[in-house]
Amino acid sequence: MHVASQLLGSFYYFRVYSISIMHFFLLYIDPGSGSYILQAIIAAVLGVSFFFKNFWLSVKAFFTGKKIKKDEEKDEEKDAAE
Amino acid sequence: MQSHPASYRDTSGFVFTHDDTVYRYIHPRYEAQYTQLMSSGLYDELVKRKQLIAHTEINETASFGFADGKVLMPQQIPFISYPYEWSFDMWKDAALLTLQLASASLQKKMILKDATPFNIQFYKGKPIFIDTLSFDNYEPGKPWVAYRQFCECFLAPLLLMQYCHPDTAKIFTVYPNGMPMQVLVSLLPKQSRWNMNTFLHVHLQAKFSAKQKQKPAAENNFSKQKMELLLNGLESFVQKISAKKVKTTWDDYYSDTILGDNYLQAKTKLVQSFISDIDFKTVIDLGANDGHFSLLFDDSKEVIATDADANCINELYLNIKKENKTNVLPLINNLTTPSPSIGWNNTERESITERLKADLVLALALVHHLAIANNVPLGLIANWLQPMGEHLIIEFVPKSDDKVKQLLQHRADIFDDYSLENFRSLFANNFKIVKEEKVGNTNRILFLMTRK
Repeated sequence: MHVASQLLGSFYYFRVYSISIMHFFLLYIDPGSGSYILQAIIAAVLGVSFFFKNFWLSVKAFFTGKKIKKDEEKDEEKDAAE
Repeated sequence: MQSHPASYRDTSGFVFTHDDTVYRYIHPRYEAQYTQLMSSGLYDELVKRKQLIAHTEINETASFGFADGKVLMPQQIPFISYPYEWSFDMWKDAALLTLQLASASLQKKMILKDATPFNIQFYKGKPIFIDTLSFDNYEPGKPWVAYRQFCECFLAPLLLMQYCHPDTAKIFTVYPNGMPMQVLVSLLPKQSRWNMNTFLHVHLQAKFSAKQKQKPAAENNFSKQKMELLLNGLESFVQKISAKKVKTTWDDYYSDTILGDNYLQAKTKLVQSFISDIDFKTVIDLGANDGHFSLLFDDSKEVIATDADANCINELYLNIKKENKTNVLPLINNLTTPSPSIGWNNTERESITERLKADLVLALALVHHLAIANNVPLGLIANWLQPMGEHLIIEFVPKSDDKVKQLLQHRADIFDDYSLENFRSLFANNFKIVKEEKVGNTNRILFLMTRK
């Protein structure tokens, strides 16, 4: 039983390995040396800039939201005074 | 059965022609990917959005001589154009289509394994993806294998047209497999590095590609989220790219025309009366300028509008997009140096001379530019036009015309053979002259001819 499961295990590994070899044959273009590290760097930079962009937008929204409220209050006071 | 001369790189399959129909063979090693493409719903979604060509599966593969694999018959594209013939916005739309397809595939556990503009054709006024075998199964953790190709093939021409000049896309006649980032950096102005995106995707990549790293880095940490950031980042970058604004001599040709509105109206009427007398389906408009005459044809006629001016073709493309015209394809083509045959053995992408054939050819306000401005003898022009189309509508502009006078203003008039009589006799060698009429109250003559 133990031997059979070991054999099955290695068969499965072989099948996965040969599928990945077949897949490997489909990737016909050269990604370029350093391309992978570069993509990781770029994704990291974009992630950071995306984070800061969102942060800045929420800061802006916070302030403009507050400003609208203030103007509304001022208008209300004006109307009340008239 | 012969495979297409450009279809040798990808081991997933190849394109071949049989009985004037284009087919695509799928090798058994691509079976898993093809199944994923069809069963995941990705194919249906992209075909529905008209972003990918539809195909039908042919069951009798043995009749083509294949022992295994699959044969697809894709939607046939009537005219093949090459990227170096496209104008700025055509390139931009093709780049965006590529990125959108990469993003859409990601949602269905697939990804594009290449990113070349030769995977795209213009069909019914819009870019459409034609390489059904370009989709690969997505392996989580792996970065985008086609990233460098996308930058060399799409970002390079777009950035050249933004930072240098809109006419530079034709450089890709000699860089069909992409312009290396180091070459691109040498052509871009120094200020380009101050744009974050240009710095990351171009300048930084140029530095990385200069170093030949022996040890491959660990490539399994590139999460799907990072892939999405990369693709979305590229998409928003491309959206922001715009062509440099330059003024060219052809920009206001018809509005500034020496001869005025009456001339254009009279010519339009004449052309319309000429075409009502002939049987045709396909048209080539040479020197189309703003496309005024190309746009006269209804949807049942397929028109290729060519002009040497990148701005004119781009304006025409934007106009066609806005009006949703589906029967006109604008292309940049300098008639004195038309697109050559390039690629392996000079056979992969055939010259435009071989591709440009139609039922009707329009050569309006053209002959004097070729004969006088470019010194091409009338006899050569007649010989060049003969194989191009069965019917020809051509405008002869005599030396008494103000425009020709302008062309000869600062140069010696060496054109003794340039006369109406000579034009008629030379063209009569190759064509039967069916009609000949003066255009309005000008000295220009419009001819309708049929090839002998």
